[in-house]
Amino acid sequence: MRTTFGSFNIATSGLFASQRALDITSHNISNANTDGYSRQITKQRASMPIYGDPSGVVGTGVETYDIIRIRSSYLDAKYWGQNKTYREWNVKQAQLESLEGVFNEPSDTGIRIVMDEFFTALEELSKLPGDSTCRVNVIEKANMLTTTINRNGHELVNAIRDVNFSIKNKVSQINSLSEQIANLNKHIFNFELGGNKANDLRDQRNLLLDELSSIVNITVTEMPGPNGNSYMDVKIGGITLIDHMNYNKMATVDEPGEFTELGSGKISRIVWEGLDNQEVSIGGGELRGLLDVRDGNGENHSYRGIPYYLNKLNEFAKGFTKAFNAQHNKGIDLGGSQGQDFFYEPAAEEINCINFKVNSDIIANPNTIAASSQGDGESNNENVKLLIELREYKGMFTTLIGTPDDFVKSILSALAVDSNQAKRMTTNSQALTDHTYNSRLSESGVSLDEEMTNMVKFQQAYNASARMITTLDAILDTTVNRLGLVGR
Amino acid sequence: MRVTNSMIINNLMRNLNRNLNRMEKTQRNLSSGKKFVNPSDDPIGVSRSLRLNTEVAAMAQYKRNADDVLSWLSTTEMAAKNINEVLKRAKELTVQAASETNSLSERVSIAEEIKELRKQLITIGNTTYAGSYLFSGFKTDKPLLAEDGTYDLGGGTNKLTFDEVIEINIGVGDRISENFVGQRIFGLYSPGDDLNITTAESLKQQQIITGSYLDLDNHPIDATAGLTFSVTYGGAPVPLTINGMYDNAANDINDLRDAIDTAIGLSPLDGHVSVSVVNNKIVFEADGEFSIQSGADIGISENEKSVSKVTAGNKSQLIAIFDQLIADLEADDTDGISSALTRIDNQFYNVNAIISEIGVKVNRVELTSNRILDDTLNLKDLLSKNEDADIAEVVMNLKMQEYVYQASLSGGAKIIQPSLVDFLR
Repeated sequence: MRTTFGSFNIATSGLFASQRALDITSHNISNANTDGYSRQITKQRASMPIYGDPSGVVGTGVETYDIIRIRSSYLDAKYWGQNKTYREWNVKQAQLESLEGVFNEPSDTGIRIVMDEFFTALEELSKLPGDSTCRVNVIEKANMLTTTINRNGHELVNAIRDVNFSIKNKVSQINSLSEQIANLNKHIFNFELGGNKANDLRDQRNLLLDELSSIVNITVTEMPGPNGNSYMDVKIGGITLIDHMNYNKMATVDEPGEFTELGSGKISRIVWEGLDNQEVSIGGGELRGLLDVRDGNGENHSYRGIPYYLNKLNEFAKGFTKAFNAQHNKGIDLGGSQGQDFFYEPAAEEINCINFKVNSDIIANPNTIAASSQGDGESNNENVKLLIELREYKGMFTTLIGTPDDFVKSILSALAVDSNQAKRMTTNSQALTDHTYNSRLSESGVSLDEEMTNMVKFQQAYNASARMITTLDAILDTTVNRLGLVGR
Repeated sequence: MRVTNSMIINNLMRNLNRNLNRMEKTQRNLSSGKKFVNPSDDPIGVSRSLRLNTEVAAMAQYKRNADDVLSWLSTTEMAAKNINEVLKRAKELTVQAASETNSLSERVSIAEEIKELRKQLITIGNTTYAGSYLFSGFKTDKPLLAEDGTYDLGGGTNKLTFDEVIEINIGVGDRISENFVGQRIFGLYSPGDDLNITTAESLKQQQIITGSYLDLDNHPIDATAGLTFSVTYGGAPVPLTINGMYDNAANDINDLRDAIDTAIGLSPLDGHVSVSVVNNKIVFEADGEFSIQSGADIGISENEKSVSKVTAGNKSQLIAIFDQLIADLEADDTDGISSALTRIDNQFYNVNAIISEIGVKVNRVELTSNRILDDTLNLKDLLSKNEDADIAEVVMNLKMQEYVYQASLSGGAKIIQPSLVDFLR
């Protein structure tokens, strides 16, 4: 025996289900351009039927039992893994590109041209060793050479400081992200107590994890909790960064002693604050790139970062000073005295690219340039010629057998090759990351066409259910008002 | 594959960006005219470009050097030719004067002209090029000759040695000397000397022998058991013995010099041969012909370099010949006048030899100069091939990229615009 108003319930359930589905469609459309948003769909099924009716099992309409988000955790993990490589190389590329700017070759202002000009000035001096204009010119060009090296040195040191500053920024960014994620974990955990998924909060968390994965290499694991909810933790190189609702704070510790130019050793370390300042081992991401650029000196297969180039410049300044002074000391100046150091070279101090300069005594008195091999006349240019020959001298440097030109070229080649590699690696890893990102968008992104279709679909379903109610209304009208009126 | 709107937009943006990047790079090639701007664009090309640029700069410098040497040499040539003219005129006058028919007064007036020629010779000896005295060796700020026909050189004990040769680089390791030391033309005369000898012979009276570079660090001289070498002076060898270990540790090159000096002091060479250290070299100096035997033991190769010198105040042989001629003319000494003819002829040969030597040098510098021009052209060609962009190709690429970019833009506009939204009422 069916009830009189039972049919209304069936139709109403249809209305409700369609309305709920329209809500979700509307939510999807509204968030079509929200970063990190995953499309949601409603899950509906036929509600529990009534048994025992002689006409059979009668359906009772529809119910919406879940709203789920479409998201692949596999793609997420893949994205995080690829993103860290991309970001690492991206940072290296940017940094090396700015180093190329520092060395500024090929151009009319780089080391090559000032060295050319210095030796040209020496050639001119060899023709007129007694001429004061030629002497002043040599000093002028030597000054240009030293200041160019100094400027490059300063820029490299500044670059190290800048990178160090970025590293500190990134570390505080990690701390802030960790805090936000731990906080979200708490909300999600509480929210999901009943077993429903906190879809939108999870999207937010994934977005933060995306951001974290560009800074540092992370592994994310999620374990089921007691009441349908779950625990999540994030690790960096095996050490826990976020343990569900808690997180481990990182810090940067400046190395003892003030950082000076000469680039050996680190300027600061990244440590776990809660783990006795144990050093964090960073395996990827922007932070790895920055660390490599800041600390890599090219020794023991380490990356060729700024210290490598700084060391090379130092070696150049030192080797050039030593060789040039040694030859200059053998000569005799215009006044008949033995040549003194042409470039500044105190016994107590290592020469580097910052303190590389022309001896101030030489600047004060250009006649002290030792052009001659013996004091037998102003036009004796023997020593100038030997100084010029230094340009072809291959024994100035310890890490490379070659002329000063070869040395400068080797610095630039290393930079060019590394920068080129960084570019290629960036392009390649970006392509991979983009592909995964696209797959993710393909899976989780909102398709407006689809939502529109759904809208029409659910609207029609709603209309149909409403029509059902009208029909039932008409039936009841007939039953209540028209029946039993015969003979009235 | 499911395609979503953000995916389309994402792809479109990325591709647009990639096209723009490519266009930017091509545009950079076009505006700079170079194939590469940053070293990373073409590591090998950049390093080659650096080398080529340096070589072009060096070539330009060698060219300038060669040109300067050439001007110096042509001034020297001019001076030598002037001396030739002077000698020619002097010979004419001498021939004229030698004729028995001339009276004393005629000879005196010829003597007056010879005096003028003598003055002219001294002026030529002090010829300058850009303010530098041509014939004064390294002492280009000092005149060669004084008015009395002696060497000036700034006075004092200043010397002009044969090795004061100014050499200029005209290539890597390629040098050419540009000057001639004055005594090669003007010779050396001491009172009582024979005026009939050649200029070269007049210079043989004093010699310096220099040793090779002494490298005591790598080749120490072990004379602990005594080391004897001999010096031939005045035709007979004189043995000299030194003692000690010379390795820069206990004793250095100055100690070696002192030891040799002491040995000389004990020998008949005392007062004739002296020894000094110049530029880490042991230098022997003697007032007559001499040579060293078994010198290899003390790091001196035998007769390595024999250098003649003149000292300020020494008389020039050429001028001395003129002085003698003037004296003979004024004394009406026809024998003396006739003998001047041979002497002048000697000087002729000498000056002509020097003129032809200059000619050879000029020739060599000109050849080198031409070679440098060729090399520079080649290098610039290589440089251009290495770093200059092929404009036609770049423009074509740019047009193609522009087209692709525009196509992707208009395609993008078509993709983004319509969706189902546009078709629902």
